[in-house]
Amino acid sequence: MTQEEKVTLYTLGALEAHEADELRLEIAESSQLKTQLARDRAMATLILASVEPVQPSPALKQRLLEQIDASLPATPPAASSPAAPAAGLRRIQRKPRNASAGPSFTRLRDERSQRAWPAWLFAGLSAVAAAVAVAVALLLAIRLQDAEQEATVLREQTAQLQRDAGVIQKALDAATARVIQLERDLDQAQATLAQTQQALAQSQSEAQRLTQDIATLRASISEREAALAQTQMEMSVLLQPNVRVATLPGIANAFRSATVTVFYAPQSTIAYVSVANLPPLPSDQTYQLWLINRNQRLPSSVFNTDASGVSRLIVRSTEPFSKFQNIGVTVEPAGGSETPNPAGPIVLGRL
Amino acid sequence: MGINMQTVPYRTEQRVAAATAMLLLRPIAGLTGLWLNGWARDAAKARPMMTSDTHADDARLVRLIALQSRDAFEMLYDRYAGQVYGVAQRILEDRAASEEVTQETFLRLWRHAEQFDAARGNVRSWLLTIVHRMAIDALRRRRARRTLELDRDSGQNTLDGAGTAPEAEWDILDEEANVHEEAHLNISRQRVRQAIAGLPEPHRRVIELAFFSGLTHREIAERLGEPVGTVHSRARQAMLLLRQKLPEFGPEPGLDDA
Repeated sequence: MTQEEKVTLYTLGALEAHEADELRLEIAESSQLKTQLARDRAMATLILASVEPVQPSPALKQRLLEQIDASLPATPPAASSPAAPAAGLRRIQRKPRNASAGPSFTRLRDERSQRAWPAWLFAGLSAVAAAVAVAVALLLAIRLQDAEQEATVLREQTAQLQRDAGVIQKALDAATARVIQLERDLDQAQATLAQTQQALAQSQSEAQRLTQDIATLRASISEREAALAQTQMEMSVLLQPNVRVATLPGIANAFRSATVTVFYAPQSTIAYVSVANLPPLPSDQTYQLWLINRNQRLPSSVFNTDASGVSRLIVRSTEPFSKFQNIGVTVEPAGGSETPNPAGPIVLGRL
Repeated sequence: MGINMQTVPYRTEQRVAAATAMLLLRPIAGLTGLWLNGWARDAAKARPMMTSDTHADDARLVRLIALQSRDAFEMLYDRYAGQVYGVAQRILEDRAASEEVTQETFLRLWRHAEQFDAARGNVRSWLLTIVHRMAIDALRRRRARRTLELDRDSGQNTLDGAGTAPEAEWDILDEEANVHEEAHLNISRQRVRQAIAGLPEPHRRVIELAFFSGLTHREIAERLGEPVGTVHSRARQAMLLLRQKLPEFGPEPGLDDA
C-alpha cells in the first residue's frame, strides 16, 4: 500500500483504528502527506455534502439546547462584573511607604540649630542624611517601576477589551447583515403574497363564472328533460291504438290562418294537441281549449304560443274523447275561465 | 506581581464581553430566527452548497460559540443539522442512532469551539468529517456486537477497540494546504452526484462501501472478492477520477503517475 493510497483510505474511513493512529503520526511529520490529506478531505467533504439533507426531529434540537443550557453558568456572568474591576484596582493600589522617615529627619535638624555640633557628630549626621536621600531615591525608583507595571497591565487589559469589542462588532455586523437580508426576504414574501392574492381573486371570479355556467347547464338540462317528458307523453298518445287526427280551422277573422291538430283515441282520456300560426298573447290573456258535447262546454287546458305561433300540449279530460263532438279554442283572461268568452271561439272543429 | 495580576481581571473582562455580546445579539437573533429557519432550508437547497460568505459567517458564529453564545450555536445548528443528520441517517439507517450521533457532533462543536481554527478548515467540513467518523464507528460497533453475539458460542471475540477521537486528525492539517483546497468546495450537490455516478462501477463500489457502509479496506476486498491491493489502487484512482470530473479542483500533481 503506497502512502497516497493509505491517506485516501484514511479519508474514506476505511483504515482500521490502529492503522489510522499510525498514519496520523506519519502525516503530522510530512507536509506532502498533509497536502494530500487536505486535498482528499476536500473531496470527501464534497461527497458527504452531496448526501441529501434530512431534517432531524425538533426534539433533537430541544435536547441539545437543554444540554447547552445545563453547561452554561447558573448565574449570569454580568452579575459578578461590578466587584471584579474594583478588586483589580484594589490590587493595583499601593500602600504609602515609610511615613516615619520624614519626621525623624526634621527632629535632627531642630536639635542641630540649638547648639554647636562636634565634627564627628556632623559627619555622622551627614552620612545618615545621605543614606536617607539614597533610600528616598530608591523608593521613588521602585514606585516608578510599579507604575510602569501597572501601565503595562492596563495596556493589556485595554487591548483585550478592544479585541472583545472587535468580536462584538463583527457579530453586530453579521446580525445587521441578516436583518437587511430578512427585510429583503420580507419584501419578496409580500410581493409573492400580493401575487397570490391576485391569483386567488382571479380563481374566485373564474369559480363564480363556472358556477353560473353550471346553473345555466342545469337549467338547460331540466328544460331538455321537460321537453323529453313532453315528447314521451306525446309519443305515448300517438302510439295508442285507433289514434285519430282532427284538424280544427281558425274561424275568427284575425285567426284564419291558425291550425289546431288534435291526436286522440276515442276510448282514451288523453290527447295530444299541436297548435300552429296562433299569434302569442299578452301576459294578461291566455288561449283555452273547450271540450264540447250536446249539453255543455267543459273548460280544458290553457296555453299560449311562442314567438313563431306554435304550441304543443297534452290535454286530459275526465271522460273518454268519444263523449265529445267538438273542440274549440277561445281567448280568455290569464288563468282561464269556467265559462267561455262570450265573443265566441276563434278556432272550432269536429272531433 | 504586576504580571500575575492580569489573569483574574482578564477572565472577568472576557465574561463581561461574552455577556454583552449575548445581550446585544439575543433580540436580533430572536428576530432573525424565523427567517433563519427558512434560510437554512434554502441554503441546503441552493445550487452552490457553500459560498465564501457562508464560510466567513460560520467562522464568526464559531467565535461567538467559543464565547458561549447559545444563539450563535442555534444558528449554526439550524444551518447544518440537516446535512449532518442526513449523513448519519445515510450510514446508520436508524433514527435513534442517527440522532445520537448528530447530537454528539454538535456537542463537540460546542465544547471545542474555542480550539477551532478557521484557517485549518471550514465548519461544514469539520462537522461532516466528525459525523462521518462517528457514524462509521457506531456502525462498526453495532456490527461487532452482532458478530460477538454470533461468536459467543465458539468463544471468539471480534470486538475491535473503540474508534479514535474524530477531532484528532484536524490538528495535523496544514493551513496552507487547506486554504488552497477550501476554495473548491463551492460545487453543486448535483454535479458531485453526477461525478460519482460517472465513475467506473468497481471504483464507485469501493468508494461507497468505504464511505457509507463502514467497511475497512480488508472487508471491502473480501466483499468484492478482489485482492486487497486492487481495492487500494481503486480507492486512490477513484479520488483522482473525481477530481478530473470536477475540473474546479485543477490538475492533480500525482495524476500522471496514476
